[in-house]
This record gives sequence, C-alpha cells and structure tokens, in this order.
Amino acid sequence: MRAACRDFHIFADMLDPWKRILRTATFAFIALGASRSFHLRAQEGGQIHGNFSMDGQYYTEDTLIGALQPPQQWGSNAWGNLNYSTGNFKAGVRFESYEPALLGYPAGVPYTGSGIGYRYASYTKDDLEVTVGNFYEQFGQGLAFRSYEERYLGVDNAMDGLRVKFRPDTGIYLKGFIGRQRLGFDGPNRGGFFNGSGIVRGIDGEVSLTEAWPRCFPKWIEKGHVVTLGGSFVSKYEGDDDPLYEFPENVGLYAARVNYTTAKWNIYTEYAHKINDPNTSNENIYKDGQALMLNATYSVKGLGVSAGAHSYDNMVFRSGRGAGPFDLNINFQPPLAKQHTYNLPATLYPYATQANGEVGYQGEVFYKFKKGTKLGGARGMKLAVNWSGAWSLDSTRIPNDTVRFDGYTANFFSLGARNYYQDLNLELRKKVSDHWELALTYLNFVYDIAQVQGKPGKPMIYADMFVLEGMHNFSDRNSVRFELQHLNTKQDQGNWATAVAEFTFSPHWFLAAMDQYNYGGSVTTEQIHYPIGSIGYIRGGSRFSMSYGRQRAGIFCVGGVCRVVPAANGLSLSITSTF
Amino acid sequence: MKLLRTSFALFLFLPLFAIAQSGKLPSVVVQTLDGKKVNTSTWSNGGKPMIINFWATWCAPCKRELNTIAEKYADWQKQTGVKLIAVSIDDARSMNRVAPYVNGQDWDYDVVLDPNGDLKRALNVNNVPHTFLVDGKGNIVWQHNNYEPGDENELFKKLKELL
Amino acid sequence: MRNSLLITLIAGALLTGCDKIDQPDNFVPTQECEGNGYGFRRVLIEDMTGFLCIACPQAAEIAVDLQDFHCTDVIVASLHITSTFAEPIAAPPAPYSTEFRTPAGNAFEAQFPPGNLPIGMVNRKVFNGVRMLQRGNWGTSVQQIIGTPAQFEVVIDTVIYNASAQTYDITIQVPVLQNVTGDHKLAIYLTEDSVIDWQKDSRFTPADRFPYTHRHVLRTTVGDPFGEQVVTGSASAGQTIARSYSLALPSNVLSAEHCSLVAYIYRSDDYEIMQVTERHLID
Repeated sequence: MRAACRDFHIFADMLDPWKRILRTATFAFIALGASRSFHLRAQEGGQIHGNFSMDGQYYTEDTLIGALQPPQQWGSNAWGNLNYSTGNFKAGVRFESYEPALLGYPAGVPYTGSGIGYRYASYTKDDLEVTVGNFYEQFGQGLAFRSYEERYLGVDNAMDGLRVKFRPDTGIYLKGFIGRQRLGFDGPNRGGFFNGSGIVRGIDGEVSLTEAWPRCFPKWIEKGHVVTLGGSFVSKYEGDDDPLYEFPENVGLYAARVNYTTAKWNIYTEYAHKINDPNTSNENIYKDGQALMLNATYSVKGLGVSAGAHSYDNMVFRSGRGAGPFDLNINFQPPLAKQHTYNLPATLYPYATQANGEVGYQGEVFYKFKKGTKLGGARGMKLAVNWSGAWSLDSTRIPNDTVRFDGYTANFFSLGARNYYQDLNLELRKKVSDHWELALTYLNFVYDIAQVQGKPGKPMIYADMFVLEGMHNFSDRNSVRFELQHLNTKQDQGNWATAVAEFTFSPHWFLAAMDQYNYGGSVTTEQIHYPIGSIGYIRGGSRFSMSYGRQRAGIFCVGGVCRVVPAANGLSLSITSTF
Repeated sequence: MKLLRTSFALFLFLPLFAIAQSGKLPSVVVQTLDGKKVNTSTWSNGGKPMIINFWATWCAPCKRELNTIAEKYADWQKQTGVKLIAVSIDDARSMNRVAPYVNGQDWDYDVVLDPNGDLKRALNVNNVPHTFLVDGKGNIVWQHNNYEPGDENELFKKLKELL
Repeated sequence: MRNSLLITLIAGALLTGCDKIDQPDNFVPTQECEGNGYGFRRVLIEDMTGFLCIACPQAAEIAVDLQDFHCTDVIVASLHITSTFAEPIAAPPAPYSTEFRTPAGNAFEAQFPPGNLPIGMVNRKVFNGVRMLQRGNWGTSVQQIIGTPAQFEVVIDTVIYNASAQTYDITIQVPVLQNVTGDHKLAIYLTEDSVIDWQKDSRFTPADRFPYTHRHVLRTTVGDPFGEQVVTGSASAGQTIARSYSLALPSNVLSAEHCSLVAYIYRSDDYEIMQVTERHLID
C-alpha cells in the first residue's frame, strides 16, 4: 500500500510541471485565438491593443554542465499588455507572472508571483501631454536619465509618478517628471511591482535652432543642416538614517548636449556632471562625477563611417544608495562595443560599461563594393570593419582620505593601465549566386574577464574567432541557413566550436539545430557537447517556438547590460503575440 | 487579491472584444536620421500603402529581411507606390551606428530612431523583426512577426491586395 | 496656465537641487560602547561572502563598523557560500585552497538564494520588499530594529566543557517577554573569529590579500541548520523556554578560543529573527 502511494506521488510530481505547461499554453491559445477571430470594435471608436509573451522552461538536472532542477521543475516568465486609447486619452496595464521566474532571472531584486507590473493613463491636449502612473522616458542619450524596460534581461526601472511633456513652440520640447522607480515584483504580498524609496525629479529642454528660429539661420536651412541643443537637470532624494555616514539627501546631476546634422555628417556630444553621491557602488566617496561622450558619423550611399569616444568617471546614479548594480538606475552609460549576433561572440565575452569609470573608443566602416567592380562581382559585396576598446580611467587613490572622503583623483579622458576590452572584427558578405549568400567574419578579442565578469585572478583572454555563414534558397519559400563558428583561445574554457543549421518554410515554420562543443580546456571533463533542437510556428503577429536540449551557461546582454544565464537542460517554450 | 483575480480573468477575455489587426497609427515622437523629430500620427504616403518595419543593427534576421526587400524595393515602389519606414529600436549604445549602417547597405528606406522603445511599445511589439502593413487611409491591416526568407513574397502579396 | 505649470516644475526641480557636503561627519570608531541591554531587540547580520569575491571585504568592513557603532546590539556571522566565490581553486597549501563552505552554509544558500555577492540579511527581515540586502542598506536596516522592545530574550546560560566526551554542553533560556502567536524556532551558530587566510579585494593591486583576517566565520550549527521548534501556536509573557545541547567541535575549527555561539529565535513563517545573542565558547 505504502509503495503504491509513493509511486503515485512520483507520478503526480512528474505530471505537475506538464500540467502547468498545459495550463499556460491553453491560456495563451485562448488569448491568441480570440484576438485573431473576432473583429469587434470597442465602443465609441476606442481601441484595445496589446501583446502577450511567455518564456517557459522545464528543467532537468545535468551535473555535467552544472544544470540544476529547481524544486518547482518548471519556470516561466509571462507578460500581457493591454492598452486602451480613445481620442486624446490612453490608458494601459501590464500583467506579469513569474511562477516561478526562470533560473537566473532577473539580475537584480527578485520577481515572484503574479500581478500588475505597470499601469498608466495619459492625456494629450494640443501640445501638452500628461501621464500619470508608470512611464518610460529618456533625456538625450541617457547620461542624465533613462527609464526603460528590457524584459528579456529583467531590467525594468519604470518611473511611477507624473510626467508632463510640452511643446511651447515649433522646435522647442520640454519635459518634466517626478516619481519613484520600480524596484522589484512581489505578487503574493504586494499584488505586483513595488518601488524603491528614493524620489527622482527631472526636467529637460531641447531646442532645434533651425526649426525654432528659422530666420536666424538661413544658411543652415538652405543647406539642410539641423542643430539641436538640449539640457537636463535630474535630482534624487533619499532620506539619510544611516548610522555610519552623513549622506547628502538630495543629489543633483545636470547634462548638456549638442547634435549637428547635415546630409552627410552627424556629430553628437553630451556632457554630464554629478555632485557628491556616496553610494555602495563607489565605496561611499564624496567626489563629483562627470561623463563626456562624442560621436561623429559620415555617410553617403554605399559608405558609412563612424567614430565614437567617451570617458565616464564616477557616474553611477541610483535612487537607492545601497541598490545593487541592476536596480534603481537613474541614468545609462552606454558602452562603446558592437553587439554581436553570432552565438559565441555574443554570449561568451560580451562587454558592459564598467560602472565607476572607463575610457572607451569605437570606429567602424561599412562599405559596399558596387556591382560590376573587381571586388564586387556581378552582385556586389558588403564589408564591415569595427574596432572598439575600453580602458580604465587614469586615477590615483588619495591616501589618508578621512576628511573629505573624495576617494581618488582622476585625469579625465586619460587612459589608465588596465585594458578592459578590445574587439576587432571584420565581416564580408556576398551573394554568390541567385540562390546562395555567404558571409565570412573574423573577430579578435582581448577581454579582461577578471574585471568585466568579476572573476578575479582569471587571466586576460585572447581569442580569435571565425564564422562562416551560408544561406541557400531551395525555392521562393524554403531555405536553409547554416553557421560554422570557431573560437580559439588558450585561456578560460579553451576552444569552442559551434554549428547551426536552420530550415525555414515561409511563411509559417522553422526548424533549427545547434551543437556547441567545448574542447581544448585544461580539464578533460570539460570537453562537452551542447546539442539543442528547435521548432517554431509563426502566424501574423504571433510566434510559438519550442526547444529541447542543453543550453550553455552564458552572458545575455541587451544594450550593454548583461545578465548571467545559468546552464540548463530541458524543454523550453516561448510564445509571443501582438494584437 | 480578489480584484487581481478578476482582472486576470478580464484579461483573458478582453481580446474577444479587441480589434485584431486594424487601428490607426499611434501618436509617438521619433527621430529621423537628419536630426528632426516626427510625430508618427502624421505619417502618410499620399493615399498609398506603407510598410512599417521594426529592426535593430544587432538583429540578424532584421537585416536579412531589409536587405532582401532592398533589392526588390524599387520594383515594389513602381508597382504599388509603397513607402517603407524602417524603425530602428537601437538604444543609446548603438543608435549612432544606424546612419552609417543604413548608408553602407545602400538602403532607400525612410529610417527613424526609436531609442527608448516608445513606438515599439505603442504598437505592442514584443521583439524584432516585426512588420506592419498600413493601407492608404492609415489603417494597420496586416502584421507579421519574425522573418524567414520568402516572407517578403507574402508581404508583397498582401501589399498588392490593397490596391 | 501651461507656462505656470512648467515654471513650477522647473523651479521645483532647481530648488530641490543638491546637498553639497564638504566635510562629511562620518562615523569614527570610539572605545567606549554599550548596547541597549536586556529586553531590547538586537540584530544578526548574516554576511554572505567568499574569499574570491572582490567587493566582500568592503561588506565585512561595514559589518564591523556597525558593530563598533551599535556595540553588542549587532552580531555578525559570515557565511562563506557559492561555488563561484567560495570554492577552493587550488590544493593546499597554495593560496585559496581552504574550504570555508559548510553544509549549514550550503543549506542557507539554497533557502536564501543570494544572487551576486556580497549580500546580506539583517535579522532575515524583508525591508521594502527585499530580504537579500546590498551592503549599503545594512546600516539603515539595522537602525530600524535596534532598541525596539523584544518579544523574547535569548540567554546562553551555561557552556561547560565535558572533557570525557570532548563536547561542550550548552544550556539556553528563552524568556518570553510579550504574548506571541505563531510558530518559532531556536537555532544556534558556531562562529570562529580572526581566521587568517587569503582574500580577493578589488581595492588592492594585485587583488590578493594575505594575511587577511576573516571575521565571524560560520563553522557549523548546533543541531539542525534551521533549528528546533520551541513555540508552537503561541506563547505567553512570563513563560521561559529552556533547552540544552551538546556540541562537538568540528574539524574546521582552528582555535576554540576564537569561537562564539550565536543563538537566535525566529518566526517560522517568514524567518524573521526576533532576538539574538552571542557568547564566547570559552570565557
């Protein structure tokens, strides 16, 4: 009798995650099916739109790659947005569900349970727009302020408060806001998201000189030049009841920017300065912070060139002094590094801005060899060359720093001793016949893994990579694409080889298989294969896909913010839909 | 808690009453590559259809799609008068690379920047590439997520149905 | 109307600008110090750390500063956990070859997934939605608890070495000071202070420090890591709970003279520590 019971329990345990998968899938299908088959108009011309997305994974233990099975066995992240608009009025809400969240997600304060993740209402009258509730916003390129969402990364610092946008005259744009920032998500206890305790306030003005005062700049207008000036001020308030430090409760940051655009040139620069802001990330020093970024591009048909540089010094700006690196960020310090699309370079050694200080450079050329030229051949050929690098900021620690607590002195825009990262890559892409396209890529990485991934003691990584990609059309609808990737390094985990094959049957189906092989590392047990297969179905604005196999532990980055994704083995399911 | 459960149930059934694939373009401000701000509700193509395509410089299938269409674009324009607006969702990290990339590829599209995802959110786009087809009256009549070689034929078929 | 709204916004933002501090009045440790004493809540900081974690020494320093500031009202236990930060990377006697992890620590790691290190818990209490606190939030969180009236007192009454059995016999008294409801558990840590070993520290070049003094290292728990239930349902003021235990020193302890017992009572449903006390193993 006892044995029978135990068997039953095992069976129930096995069944449970599948039940959950089934339930989630049913939910998705109802929502999708409904949205596709009924074309009813909401009353009075209002519109309801939204989207849905879900990522789920059934985990199995795999000690060889360090994959764990959480007690719930199944993890899923799901989001559903609903937006209603009528005339000048808009309102929306986002439901989120983490039952439980996928392993390693999110990077910062945990998300648990189900509930409301975001809600807002907004009203537009002439040149005035008012939003209450949650909103996302960015000043300039974000050195002063950026509130944004990268849901696949688990970064969401949505503001919760009030925002006003106003256009007093042609070419003049003003924005102001006040509120708190989203910190985490707790369905069971709080019914959804919750905010940090700090308050953030900001104003921003932008003037397009040529649009605002056309009579003053006749020459620029004649030539089609556009000059835009912008300025921001952002400050945060956080009470100080820390027993050890006298913290400033209000910390301000100002920023200014200029953008000069002609038909061929675009020059952008932004500078930001922050007053004393002791926080955990800068080891509670009272030094001011500053940041400068410069970017110039020149492009004509068939040729594009860009060059960029920046220097960041002590510019982490968070509405919670003690917040972790992924939480309550008010501003955004963009890295200067190409975001790669091939699996190995994208997820093994990606670069993220070193928060408290760095100097970075990037240069890039895109060129198209025209049809009929020697290198271009009958169908032309495209070349892309990119180099980027980042160094520590040249700085000196202040000894016996017990009066002003400034921490260190720095020479702005001057390279320090440490090279965090360099990436040189070159890509050639050519259509060789009506049915074949080939792309060859070479990449060379120098990567300070000790610094960038916080793994002290690990040696600098020098890696060479080659990628051959080919695409072949069998017909108008069916095609195959393959990738052969190889990474060669003596450091870290040694060499990697990756092969990808992807069959697509337009417009609905795709099938893909990938194997990654890690070899040549120092330990023999590290020679591991990571096979994974996927199948997907797309219809209109909806996409379903399913994968089964091993997923290597890696770094997942969006926009220079990276999250560590643990190794996993099992079945994963993904649904996205827009309606 | 009860309220929450009710709202979840509501969420399940609300799509029943939603308009699946029609609707007007939202009112959101995006930037053009020549430094101007444009409100998307003013987008029109003189009574001809428009294609709105969301992409990013770091998205391989997006670039495949736009490069494939680029070869047929002149022909499509001649036959249908269509205009393609390529909305780059590159953020501050890579938005400065968009103009050189676009010119390096020799594209003839209208390209705009949506660096903080305002338009992406307003049109409920989950991920890129995502394509919308807008008829001459400014209604969104068709959409497609993802890109597989050959999908451009489907798009062209839908486009011709609008004429 | 519009302009006045904007002007208000701009003026508001500028007025609430910045607090410039030229010479911060930061805490400097002093010699004399006394806690709040019997009947008031004390705090246990569980500092999750590892010798490969480059920012962990900073967290340890904050914990020590808080102890200096609040004296006996702050008790610290360092839990060396995670394979990323605490797994030995060489064989003895090379640097970073000591196994600081313990089965008890691993059990806590599973129960309270730390994410990245350093991170810590202050009485395992959830502050504004967050239990795993970044080091910069410890001071403020500690401040919120210390000195408030306690529901329990915990007293490590006697610690007697039993030479024949080579064990320490421990008796603990838990006077109930207020009527309480809910299940509560009593748990005991054995910590060892002043353990000399290697430590990574990003503030040093090279980042390896030796000799580094590891403070309050968790060596084992007396009994189950999550303790033993001592209140079931409810307890009334005036009652005293008494328990006795026996502890054999585990092999990872280097010096019994540096060891302390940390006993605490916590609420079973949310893990919040209601009272904690510390006593040297050998007086």
